[in-house]
Formats: sequence, C-alpha cells, structure tokens
Amino acid sequence: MTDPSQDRDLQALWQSQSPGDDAGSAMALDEIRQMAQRLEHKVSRRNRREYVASAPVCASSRRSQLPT
Amino acid sequence: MGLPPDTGSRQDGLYAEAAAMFGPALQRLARAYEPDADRRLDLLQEIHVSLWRSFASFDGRCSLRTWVYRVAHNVSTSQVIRRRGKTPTLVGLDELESMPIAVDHEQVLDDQRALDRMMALIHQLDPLDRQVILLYLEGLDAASIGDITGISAGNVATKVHRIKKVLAQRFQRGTP
Repeated sequence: MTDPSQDRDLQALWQSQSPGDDAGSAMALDEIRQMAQRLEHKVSRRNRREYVASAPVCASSRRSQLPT
Repeated sequence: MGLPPDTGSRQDGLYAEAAAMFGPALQRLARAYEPDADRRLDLLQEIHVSLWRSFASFDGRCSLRTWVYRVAHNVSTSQVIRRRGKTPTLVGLDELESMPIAVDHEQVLDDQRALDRMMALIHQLDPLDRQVILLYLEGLDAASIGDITGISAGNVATKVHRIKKVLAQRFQRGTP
C-alpha cells in the first residue's frame, strides 16, 4: 500500500464511483438563489426572535446594576 | 443578496466553474459523510448553497479547489457533529488501528465490494481523519490537504500512511 502505483490504484477505484442516486443532484443557479434567500430569511427571523427575547434580560440586568 | 451586480455575476461564475469542476468529487464527499440517501441529497444541496454563498467573499488568496473543499468539508463536518448523538460512535485512527477486523476471511474483493468496505471504514472515522482520507483519495498531495484542513503537511503524511495501512489490513482489491 505504500508504493505510488498502489496509491493511484486506490485513488482510481475511489474516483471511479458511479454517480448513482446522486446523479440528479445538480442544482440550477435560480434554485440555489432561492434556497439561499430562504436560509437568510430564516436566520434573520431567528436573530430578531433572539434580540426580542434577550431585551427583557438586558433591561432587568441594567435595572439591577442601578444604584439604589 | 444586496450585492452589486458585478459581484453577483462573479459569484455565479465562480460557482458554475466550481460545480462543473468538482461536482462529482462533491457527490463522493457527500456519500462518504452521509450513508442515508435522502439525507445525502440534503447535505449535497446544503454544500452547493454554502458554496454559492461563500463565493461572495472569495478573494482568490487560495486556489478554487482549496476553497471548494474547505467549504464542503466544513458543511459536512458540521452535519456529522450535529448528528453525533444519533449515530454510532466515531473513532480516531488510534482506535481504528486497534479494532479487531470484523470481516470475513476473503481477501480478494471485486471493485464494488472493495468500495463498499472502504466507505464503511470511512463512515466510522472522526471528522478530521475522514477529511484527510477523502482528500487523499481525491488525489490531493499532503501540502494541499494541509492547506484545506489546517494541519501540517507532515502530520497529513503520517495520517495518510496510517490510514493506508488500516485499509491494507482490511482489504485488498481483487485483480481483474
């Protein structure tokens, strides 16, 4: 397994795999853009939700730091 | 995406070039990370979307190949880590070398069985060792693998040598 011809043999075997079920997985650019947009909307919705959820925590921690 | 039109077309162009050049390699990579066919398609789509998005910030400081493999391995590794609790334990090379060989005694395998066995072995590896062996199988040299994975070329060479030894112990490819 250490000589270069056996390396090439192993690599050739690996690279000879047929696409099989994954053959239809190529995606059109429009499809990719749509998926990326959906992902960005999802992330921004999640971020908004987290900002809103953290607001009361920030407010209460600030209140607790105020001198009495 | 909020990018200037030129950036968008450059992004599209880079993605198209990468998909054309590395599409089959990405399919093999997804197969090595995800045994389940449906999840594999999801992973492949996630890789393609991440690649397209990443090209908005591609500055050409590394080769297209290095960039593509970095993104693809990062996405795939994240999936492995997310699913770690639900999958059988992954092992490092140390454990793999010391594990008993739980296969039949037949040493001469045809190509498909050799591939299946190699894939089963790869599915057991922890993410870093998996990255190294997959990049080696794609024909990359130690320096390029080091660029992609962030480990030294010397360390890559050692890992590759050990992984090949494990592969040699577990199967031999049949002669035609």
